[in-house]
Amino acid sequence: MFAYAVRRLIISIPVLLTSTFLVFLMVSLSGDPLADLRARQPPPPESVLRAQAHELRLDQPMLERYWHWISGIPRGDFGPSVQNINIGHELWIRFGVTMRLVLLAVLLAAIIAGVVGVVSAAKQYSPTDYALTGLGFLFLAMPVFWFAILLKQLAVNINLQTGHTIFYTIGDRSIETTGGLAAQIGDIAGHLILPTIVLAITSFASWSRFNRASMLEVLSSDYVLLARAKGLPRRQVLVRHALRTALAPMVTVMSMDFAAFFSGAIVTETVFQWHGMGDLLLTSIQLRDVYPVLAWLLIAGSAVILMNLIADLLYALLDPRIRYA
Amino acid sequence: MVVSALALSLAMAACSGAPAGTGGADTGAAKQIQGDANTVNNGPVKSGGNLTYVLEKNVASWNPLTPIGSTVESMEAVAGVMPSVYVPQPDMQTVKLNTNLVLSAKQTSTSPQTIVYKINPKAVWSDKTPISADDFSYLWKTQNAKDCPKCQVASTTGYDQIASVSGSDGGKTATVVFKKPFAAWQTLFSFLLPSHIAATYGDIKTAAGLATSFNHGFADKPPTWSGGPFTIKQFQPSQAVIEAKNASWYGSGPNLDQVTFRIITDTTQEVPALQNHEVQAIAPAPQVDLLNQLKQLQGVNYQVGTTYFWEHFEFNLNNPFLGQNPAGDALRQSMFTAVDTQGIIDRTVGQISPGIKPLNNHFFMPQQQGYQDNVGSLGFGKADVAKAKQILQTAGYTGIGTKLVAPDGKPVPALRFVYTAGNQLRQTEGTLFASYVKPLGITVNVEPTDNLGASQVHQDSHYDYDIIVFAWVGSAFPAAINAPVYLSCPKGVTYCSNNIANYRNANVDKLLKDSVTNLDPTAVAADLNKADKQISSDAVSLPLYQRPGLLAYDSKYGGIRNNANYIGPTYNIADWGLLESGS
Repeated sequence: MFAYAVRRLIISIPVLLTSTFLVFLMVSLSGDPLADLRARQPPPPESVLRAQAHELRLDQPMLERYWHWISGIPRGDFGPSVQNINIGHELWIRFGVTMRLVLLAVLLAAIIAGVVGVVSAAKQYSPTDYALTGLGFLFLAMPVFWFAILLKQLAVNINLQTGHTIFYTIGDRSIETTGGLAAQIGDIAGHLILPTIVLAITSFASWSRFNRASMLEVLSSDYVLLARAKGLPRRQVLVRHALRTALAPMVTVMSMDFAAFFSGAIVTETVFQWHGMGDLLLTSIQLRDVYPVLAWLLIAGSAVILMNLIADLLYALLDPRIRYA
Repeated sequence: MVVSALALSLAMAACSGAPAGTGGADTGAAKQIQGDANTVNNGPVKSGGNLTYVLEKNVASWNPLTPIGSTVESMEAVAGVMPSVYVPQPDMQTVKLNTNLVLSAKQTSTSPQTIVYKINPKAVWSDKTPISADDFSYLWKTQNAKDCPKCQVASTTGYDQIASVSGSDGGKTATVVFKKPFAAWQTLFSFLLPSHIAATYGDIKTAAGLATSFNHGFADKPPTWSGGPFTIKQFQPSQAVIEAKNASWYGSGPNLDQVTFRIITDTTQEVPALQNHEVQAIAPAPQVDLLNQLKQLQGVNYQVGTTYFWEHFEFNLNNPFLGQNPAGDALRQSMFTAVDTQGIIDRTVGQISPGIKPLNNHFFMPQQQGYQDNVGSLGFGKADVAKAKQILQTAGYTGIGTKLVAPDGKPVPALRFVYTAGNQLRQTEGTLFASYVKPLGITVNVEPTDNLGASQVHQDSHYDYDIIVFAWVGSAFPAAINAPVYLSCPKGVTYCSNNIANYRNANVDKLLKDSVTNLDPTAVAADLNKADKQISSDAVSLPLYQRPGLLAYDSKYGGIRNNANYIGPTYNIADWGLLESGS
């Protein structure tokens, strides 16, 4: 298993490098990052524009620029930025912000999807199943940004009606918090609830459908019928025998959806003004700031690879046949 | 079920129309505050309290005199920290002497032009070091392109015309002598930087020391010092700038204990944040939906004012069919004549601020002395299709109304009208333009660009546009900022400075050059209007309208008002405060 994991990791490296090179070419060729400066009124002196171009390595050939970038990474140098930021430092902070949101959303979506999937499967074609199926499709069909805005308005209304700020609509925390630990936790939770729900809701919808189908398949299998025939309690059959088996393909789907979570976080971060990885990517693309985009890709790609690896390991944990294969 | 409850609540939120707590259209709606631009919302305020104001971009550089730092956001963030000698007022024509900083600024001679600044003896930096002529000298040396060639300055305008800056009276008098007259001298010495702090970054008697302090020392980290009413207490990158009272402040105020600049990069999220009391003041670019949303809020006041941004259609004279020759002139003039400027306004910004009229001038705003209609008086922008056809016919065009053919027999190709991607107003303007010129037999393809700057400064023959819509920025000193837009480029280049259309007229050059150096404001206005008449009749760019500005704030606050200048509403940040009356 260990050898398998290492092999998977080694294969991932050239894939990651190729993708960074392609993205580097695409962003670099998309336009001059200094164009907005040239169009300023009045424009900066030509000597200033030349100095800026030199600082951003725009006066170097394309391949040389890429080599500078890739060779700087081991030293923690992610290259210069139009935004005058230290990309490495910025990534560290923003990755933490995004992961806080993504991990919690994955957890929430997985728990609700697990429960809904089991209930739907156990009560197939019942009114509960129809209701949950309808809800699933409803959330699946809803655009994330639209749902986020709607949820935000609902939260503001609740705040106004109660006269207390329970929910916050911008940022991952208040700029200045007063009070003890409870107040700090309340503040973080108040900022976390809405974006987590938004990010979790669409994945919950698809995962619950997947879990329902998976559960139905397992529930009709011979070993579950045998367990029932032996007189095991219904709850035990569902949770210990059926759910565990049904979860294995779910884990694969969840790990594959991790990249989607990252992209979903871009919209969620924008609506709730979480200045995480998504915000960095959007701003950098708008400014044609190639190096932060590359750094984003490197981190996001690595995270996806890592999650796939974790999924493989979890898969083995859930299904002993893989462990011993 | 939690999920079901959520779905039900969302459905209710979606169906409820106006947000709860707004109290209906009449009783709870936000109030539009109107009045004199310089004094509106000036109710008595008390001392104390905090306010959070929204910035729409991160502060990328703390030196507002560098290209990266010369953004509205950076300037607003440091307006209360870095003092300026003159402060442009909201009426768009007054520049007020900052008497906290200088007691007087007088032009004592016109030949050579000499300005004497008497610095307030009480004026000190936050570490108690007196603000002195050395600080004036530092600003000049870093921005004159001579003493510090490697200083990355946003502009050298004016500073490159100064011969010397000298100090006397123990540094409390600064005397500035110009080698060439500079009419807009009141624009100089904005955002004063402390020279004694600069000296800690390097030897400021050398070019290298000046460059290090200017490009990095003052730019990379938020200032720990202040010469204004506030000092920066904390900067959370991409999140907020927190400013508290400067304990060494030598002027009156400030009223508020703390001002927080909160960074919200998505305009549409500003109104919910205001409604949820997470911020107290926003100044987004006005849009119809945003304004309608804002109007429903309770306890909010808003001001719809004017800005220096003026939208216009610019024609690319590098296109042979649109070039400066008899046929090209006629083609452009005919299109100018067929366009309905008021019609464009009514279908775009007129819905935000009714009463907006065509601008009809390339230099002056209607609020400024010297303004006159130099465009409409030529019959441009009046939707006169018959006259437009007549112009084409006289010039020898054929196929008028069907497929236009130039006098030399070449069919006029489809023209590319370029607008900023995602800008609905500009897209509508493009579509309307295409419909106005269609009866002339001209086809216009309306295309978006996601890089407006690159499209403007096309640098080779493969230019990106035939007609482009965007905004230039005006000023209380229109000659200094707008003259470069119309000054001829050297031969052989397709654009230079801000003359992206590659317009050339020797008479206009002469008038504009005089307007920059002439110290008589009446003569400057006359020069600019003569130049404007020529530019207008040459039909190189069609001014559309002056863009409206919007400021919305919690009704408990006074002193805050819309301002079109580069530091926006923060121009009087020391006057902001909680109203004594409560709202």
